[in-house]
Amino acid sequence: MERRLFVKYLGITAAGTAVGVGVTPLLTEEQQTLLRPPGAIDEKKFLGACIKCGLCVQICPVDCIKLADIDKGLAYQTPYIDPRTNACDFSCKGIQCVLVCPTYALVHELAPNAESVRMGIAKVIPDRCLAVQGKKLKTKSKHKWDEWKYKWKVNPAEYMKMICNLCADKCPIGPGAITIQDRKDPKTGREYQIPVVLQGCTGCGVCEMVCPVDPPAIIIIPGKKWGEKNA
Amino acid sequence: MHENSAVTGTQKKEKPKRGTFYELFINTRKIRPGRISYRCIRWFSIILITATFALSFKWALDFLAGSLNGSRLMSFFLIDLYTGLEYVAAHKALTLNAVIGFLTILLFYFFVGGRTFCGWVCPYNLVAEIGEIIHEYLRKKGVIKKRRMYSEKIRYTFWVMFLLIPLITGSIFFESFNPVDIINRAFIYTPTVMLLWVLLILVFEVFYARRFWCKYVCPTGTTYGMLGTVSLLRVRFDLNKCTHCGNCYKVCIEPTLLTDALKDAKKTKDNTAFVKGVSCINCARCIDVCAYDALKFDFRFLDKIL
Repeated sequence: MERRLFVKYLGITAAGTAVGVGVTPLLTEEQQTLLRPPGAIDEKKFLGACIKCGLCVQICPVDCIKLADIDKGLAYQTPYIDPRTNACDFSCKGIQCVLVCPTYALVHELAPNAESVRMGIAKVIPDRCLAVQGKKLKTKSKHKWDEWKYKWKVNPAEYMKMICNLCADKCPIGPGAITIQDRKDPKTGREYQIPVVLQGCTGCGVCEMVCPVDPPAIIIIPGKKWGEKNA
Repeated sequence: MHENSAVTGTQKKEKPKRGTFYELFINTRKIRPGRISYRCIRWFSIILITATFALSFKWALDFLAGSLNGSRLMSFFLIDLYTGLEYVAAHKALTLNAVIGFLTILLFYFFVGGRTFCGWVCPYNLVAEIGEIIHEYLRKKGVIKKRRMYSEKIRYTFWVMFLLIPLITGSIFFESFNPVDIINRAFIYTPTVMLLWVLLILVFEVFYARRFWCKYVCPTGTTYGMLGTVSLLRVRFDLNKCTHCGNCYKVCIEPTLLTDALKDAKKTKDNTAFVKGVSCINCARCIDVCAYDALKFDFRFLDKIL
């Protein structure tokens, strides 16, 4: 009897494991859609290393890290950054979320300082960009200013520009990551300015956060590195 | 006349007030009634720990950061045992902080009894106990008749299963469906839709199987239960004081534990035995309901060590 029970339980274990292994690909996304905090290891390994404790969420001084909901499958309650609402600006210097991670889902070697972080890459969408259209930045963005939980004290004068260059202006890395360059349209001959993302881009998402048009003219593609082709 | 009224007064006191709100927190069946019950202390402990997690984040105290999966108590790492095992299975590597956290929890629950976690910390336990009260109420009304019992050994299949899945696929599977952490994180961060899953388990427990999750599935509890088989603090049963009234059988989530203790006690010289076994969550309900103090908390192996 004991033996029969043992065999039965062994069968249940095998069947359950098979179901779990079969279901796992359905519950994980093929393409990384969540922007992980600084120093995150490869997305597939990340789901094995993150124990969903939320220590990174609690330590972050600018409250930019959030926990994913169940629509992300097995990535449920793993940390991500929504750069449009609140972006990582490396103002904590030591990169606290990396230091606090107990299981090295965020590794210090990948993020020893702000410049060497590679969370993703910014991508400019020229059709939406105010600088490409040569427009002034005078109106408030669609953000409610007081809803910004950002640590900068917002000075409205900073946002009154002849030609919008907020993304380059507010980038925590500086000219190594994004610059405004002059271009000339070969067909019409119109001269315009456009933000260009350079090799130094960390994918922190401050540019996406401050972009005054809605939907934003510059977005972060998570997990991509500079020079890789965007899907 | 005066004597008579005194006698009736004491008789009234000894009458068990079953099912009253008062009896949830105060012992009435003891020889000396009116004491705060273990259940009251336990529920307070569960609420206190959950509140400490939630408030230390809300008020930025950094006293107890994180959640039940992994936390920092005054900057000292703590890792839940089964989560640690899942992490090793999935990640196939170790970190110093995780090892320190794992060993600290292991050592702590070695002293205070393995599944003390379930009874005194786990927020789902509180939910399940309220579910039991709802079940009692519905049973009195005649809505539910009797629930099924299964073999408790099925828990090991889930324990192995949820370790094998991360070992093969490399991503932690079970933590997305763990009601313990879903409730815990709902209080610390924002509540999610997965609370409906917890509700589903609770409804299943109330109507079909008693303490289904805790007894048959929960691998977190199983891990602490395995530790509990060698841990120090357990419930001690004294056959000399026992009147075989059967009150403890009614409240115990796994009555076979008490039958085993009774059998063990008959074999020993001093007629006492410890409640062994993986299922005992040290909830002390048996101590609460025993009118003759035949059950109490005690440390094992102390006579051998000292």
